[in-house]
Amino acid sequence: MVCDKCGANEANIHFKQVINNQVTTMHLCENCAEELGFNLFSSQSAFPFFNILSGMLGPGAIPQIKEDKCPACGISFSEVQSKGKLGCSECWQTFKKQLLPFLKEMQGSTFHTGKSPKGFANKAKVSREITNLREELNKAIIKEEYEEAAKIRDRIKEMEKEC
Amino acid sequence: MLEKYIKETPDWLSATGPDADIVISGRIRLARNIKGFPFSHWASTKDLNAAADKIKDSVNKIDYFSGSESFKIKELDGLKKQFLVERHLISRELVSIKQGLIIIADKEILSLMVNEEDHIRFQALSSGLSLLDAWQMVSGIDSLLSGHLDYAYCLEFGYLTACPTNVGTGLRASCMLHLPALSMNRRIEKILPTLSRVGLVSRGFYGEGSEAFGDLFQISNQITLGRREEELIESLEKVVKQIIEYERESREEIAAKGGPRIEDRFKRAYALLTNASLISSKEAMELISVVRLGVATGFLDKIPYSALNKLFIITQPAHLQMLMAKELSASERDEERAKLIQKELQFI
Repeated sequence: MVCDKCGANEANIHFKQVINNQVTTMHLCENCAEELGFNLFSSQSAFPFFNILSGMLGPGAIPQIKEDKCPACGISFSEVQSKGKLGCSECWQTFKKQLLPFLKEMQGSTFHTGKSPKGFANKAKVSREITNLREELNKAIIKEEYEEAAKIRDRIKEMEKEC
Repeated sequence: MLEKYIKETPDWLSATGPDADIVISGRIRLARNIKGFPFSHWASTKDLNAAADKIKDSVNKIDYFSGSESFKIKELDGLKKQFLVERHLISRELVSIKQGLIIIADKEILSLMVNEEDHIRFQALSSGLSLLDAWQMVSGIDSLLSGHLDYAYCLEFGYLTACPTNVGTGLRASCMLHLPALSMNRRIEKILPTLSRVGLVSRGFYGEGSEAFGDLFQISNQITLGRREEELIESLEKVVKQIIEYERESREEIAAKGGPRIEDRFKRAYALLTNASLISSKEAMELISVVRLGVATGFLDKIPYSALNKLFIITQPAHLQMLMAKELSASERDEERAKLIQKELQFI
């Protein structure tokens, strides 16, 4: 197979990206892949394929791939990834699914247990208790203590109403 | 007037806090954003200005800030901006942010950056290892501010920040450690790589990406989510105490070993510092570090740590030029730096 970019060399690097069920593929030779800023051995390039597509197709090409955007600030997750910064506080809910693995990896946790601003203190306390109860619920299920698990589940439901 | 700060020595250099022979300073920084505004990086000039006005108005409502001063970054020249960076009052990132603002309160103990990566980043600096005291202070100001500002916050992720590395508590606690003995016997090379395993990170004198000149190392927490602020601070302090112990052991080993070779090293550094005609800022930091160790191990006569801490800062390029009240070329700076050090040390 010939390289999609130079059309001369043998393509031995193949990329495939799926965004919202749209599949994009690209076949490149090593030289062209490197020229497009993709260092095969670089851990810095967290999203190399995105960069390569930008380079191949030119500016404005990537937004053609429909992506979810934050309803508050209009920023897509690709933009968040490219800059390493979220657009606004609403992005945290919009891109929650994508962010959770990052948080697990970087922070070792996905839930805040520290201070809360005025007016949130009580809610935060209840929320922390719910987290603890969920852990207890899991333990009870593992131990097959279903009666205890049912009690905990009801308690969680009650507390969720408060929250 | 920013010029007045050059005549004063910030309290965090006073060497009055616990373990100040090793811990130069402690710092607590909190990151906060305002609900309803895009995060700084993506915000328009209009939004950034509006956020800055809102923050300034709220700050003015708090008594603690009554004697504070604020400076717009765009109104400061390059020298003044560099001075604030050297002073640890602003980050290197804020320097290039036109809508940035710095508010300095309580004799530089507390400072608040506006429109950096997050809308608000405020910090308290203290002498020695007293992070929990600094935390109490910062937390108190934070609670007061939250009465006037609607923070971006949710129960699940805590304080919402522009970068996921700060989310949750938004807390960065750090200690500036002077570790010349561990550098000399190279044990530091074994210690630093282990920090990441306990969720900590080591940086140079001026934070991320800066080099550890003068054997000064900044150690801080990397994790901000899933643990209470006090827990994060206590676990940092625990590791710092361990490092202090190692540094003391190494200092004792040097003192016990003694001999003309070691003695010469300290006396030579002192002689250079007090007699040289030209000293670069890097050389100054290295010499101050060796002299500080010489004092700690008893090879040199007592020079107060506060005086040596002050030298670390006032020998920096922008400090030097602010002190001379004029711009100087690199070679002029080296000459003035040598004179300044001699002047500072002659009455001690």
